[in-house]
Amino acid sequence: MTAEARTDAPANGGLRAWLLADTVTSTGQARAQKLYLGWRRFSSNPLALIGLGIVVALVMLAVFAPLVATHDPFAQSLDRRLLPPSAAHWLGTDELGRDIWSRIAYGARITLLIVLLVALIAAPLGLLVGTVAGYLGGWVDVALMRLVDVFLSFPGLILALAFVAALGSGLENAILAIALTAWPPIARLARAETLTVRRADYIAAVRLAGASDLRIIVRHIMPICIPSVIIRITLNMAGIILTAAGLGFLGLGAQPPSPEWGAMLSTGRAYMLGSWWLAAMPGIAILIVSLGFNLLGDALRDVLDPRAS
Amino acid sequence: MSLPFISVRGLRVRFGRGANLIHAVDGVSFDVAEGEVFGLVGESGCGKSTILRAISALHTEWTGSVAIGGRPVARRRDPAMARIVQMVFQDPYGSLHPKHTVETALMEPIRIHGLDDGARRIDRVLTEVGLSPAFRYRYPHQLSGGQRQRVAIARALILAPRLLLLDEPTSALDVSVQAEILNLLSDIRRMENLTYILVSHDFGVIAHMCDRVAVMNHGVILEELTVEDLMQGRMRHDYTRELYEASAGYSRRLRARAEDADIAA
Amino acid sequence: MSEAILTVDGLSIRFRTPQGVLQAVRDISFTVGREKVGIVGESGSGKSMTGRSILKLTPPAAEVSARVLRFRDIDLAAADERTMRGIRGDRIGMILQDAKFALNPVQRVGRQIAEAFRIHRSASKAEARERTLAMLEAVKIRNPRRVFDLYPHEVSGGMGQRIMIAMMLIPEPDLLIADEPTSALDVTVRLSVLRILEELVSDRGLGLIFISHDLNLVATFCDRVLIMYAGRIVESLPAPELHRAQHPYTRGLLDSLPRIDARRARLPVLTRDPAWLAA
Repeated sequence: MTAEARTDAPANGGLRAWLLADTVTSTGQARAQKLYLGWRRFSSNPLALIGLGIVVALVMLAVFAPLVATHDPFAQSLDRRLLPPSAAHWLGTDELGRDIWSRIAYGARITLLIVLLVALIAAPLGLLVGTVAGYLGGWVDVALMRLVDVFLSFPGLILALAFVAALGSGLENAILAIALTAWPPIARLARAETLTVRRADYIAAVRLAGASDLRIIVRHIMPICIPSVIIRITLNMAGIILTAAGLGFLGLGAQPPSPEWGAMLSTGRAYMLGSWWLAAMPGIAILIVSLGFNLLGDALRDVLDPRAS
Repeated sequence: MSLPFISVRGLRVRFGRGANLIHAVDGVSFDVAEGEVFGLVGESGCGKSTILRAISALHTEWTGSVAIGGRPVARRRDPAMARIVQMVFQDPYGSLHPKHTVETALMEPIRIHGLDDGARRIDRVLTEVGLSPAFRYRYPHQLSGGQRQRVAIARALILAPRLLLLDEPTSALDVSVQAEILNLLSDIRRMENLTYILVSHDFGVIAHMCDRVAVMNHGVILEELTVEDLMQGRMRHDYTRELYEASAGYSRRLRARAEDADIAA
Repeated sequence: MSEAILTVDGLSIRFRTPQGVLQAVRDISFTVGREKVGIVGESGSGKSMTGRSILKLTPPAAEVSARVLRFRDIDLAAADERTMRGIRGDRIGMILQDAKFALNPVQRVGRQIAEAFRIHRSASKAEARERTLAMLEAVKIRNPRRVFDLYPHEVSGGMGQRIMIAMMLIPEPDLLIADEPTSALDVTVRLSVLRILEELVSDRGLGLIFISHDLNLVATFCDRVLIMYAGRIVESLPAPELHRAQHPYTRGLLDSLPRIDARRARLPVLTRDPAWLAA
């Protein structure tokens, strides 16, 4: 009895050939090819991979926090306070005996939540306002841009403080406050791109085909603006993380005993001279993640921005 | 005597306000018969492209009257017009959406009008413009200038319009590609019995494609003449003669005349 | 027979791309004396690269090699950047297609021309200004003092090109390279700009390289014409004899041009023979 031999084309060879094929037979394949070529350009840049690696590490840390944390991040142990980094406590313990490494690991969830929610609120809102204002012009443009001006005229942290003061402290309000300060620059950016694109012949062509303004904005103008928005919001991530850390530092973001990195940094201040690791560890975590997003944003700009050569 | 297919009366287009007011088109009237190729020739800023944009309602702030096939052109968005008049633009590198494949670009008009024979129409127009099916899923940056212009023509044909407005369709193309596209436009016009209004600054292109031509300067039509008259040098206006002779290339005999045309500092 | 101002022998330019080596110019040779030489070709023929390589203004990714690349008695191929800076603008000038891209938008034009003069000659501001005004008159600008104080965006296309010509000619170069200098201009303006260029070139005994895609214009303006295709010079002949061209590419180009005096049902389409690439 012989087993029936199955001859499949090796999956890798088939996929790669499909991605590099000269003759394209579907829109899906065309898009996949474009993504693949973009990925190849992206991955040829070592800094890009470092940035991406850091961001991926953040996500992994957040997702698998329960598995990689060595202790319960909320478990206090007053006889194990202020211990320096050791084999038992990799990053030491804080003033209530909680393991700092575990708090950083769980704190990654909060950082990731802040980053994702702010991006998901600010980017689409800014994109929508910017493209509508830029394309429709007239009083719509004036009204929307004055709204943007109002938000832009406040420094980010001050505006966030004002919102938190009005809405009350807590992580959700902090995220909302930060998102409200993050969307106006995106709107300005989207509007500027829309103003350039609006005069293009391909927009005139689709108007001639009978497209409505809404269709033009969503299907034709937004796709042109999206790469710039992605780049801008990625580069803004560092600032967003720092603003959140600042709010946490001031006690206005996540409330204790939440392991938010900014709050950890704030309480660690008091112990800086004697037990430097309370402040340094969350500080380094903030630094690394901000750096990661900056590198990623720069690399995305090189890949997505057709003007950069 | 049949009614003209296209009738333009007293068309006026103004840009700007007050001190910056420009009369881009200043009272233009002409007729085009069905199946005719009508040329608009002039130098930059004479208003010829602006006329196309007004006729197609891309630009809606004009006065006067324009009628196509007896139907007046509205000064607002009118999707029904898309199935009557379409346009081919000058710059092949700017007339296709950079992020849409050829397929998507051709499907867009079909989707907008909710037609259900999209695949058949796309096959037909791609064959008409001489592009093989291999081009369907390509992005514009993967196509040459001539190929892009073919896609632009295909897109203009997909809703089966009756009038095509051609805004310097070959000015941005290489000489050898220009010949192919001009031949293609001639073939398509015969096959689909279309009417063309062709804008160009190139007298050679005008002479090759058009039946009649209007010469424009500073927003007005100086004269209308048949192409036969043009080629025989039977023009009435000095400006027309100047353009005609200039298109023959540089000539030392034109020195004296060019002195008069010097731009005042 | 005037001596050659520029001698080019075996010039090749190639680019290394991720897809392989791109040969932009393949082993071309020509000379330029006190005459107007036109280089005609379609996009991708290598004509612009050729012009830039003379002044070593090719992109950094370009690899330029030549057996001989000599300007008067200076070996351009071996010249270092310092020598080239002394040559550019002073002994060899370059005119580009659009003055708006070649002029500094935030400086008045008169100042830019005067600066071009003072870079290469130690001269006082007053002398430079006098020379600039004289040059603006030479390019037939009627009110030089007024134009001196204009910004580039305030001048029309034709005047901008004349300003560029003035800027390039004020240091009194020996050779002028013009890359599509009139392509962005209207037909009537084009003629007046060319007329000025012709006068200045013949009055001062300059050599002129006129790069263009417009075969008709080059044939009527220049003394000699070089036709380029895919990086090679496929034909070289005196301008008045262009209609007697032999090479199938030149003939094909000539035939495919729509003519105002002869109407044909279909324009003959140029068919590219791969054999031309091997020439």
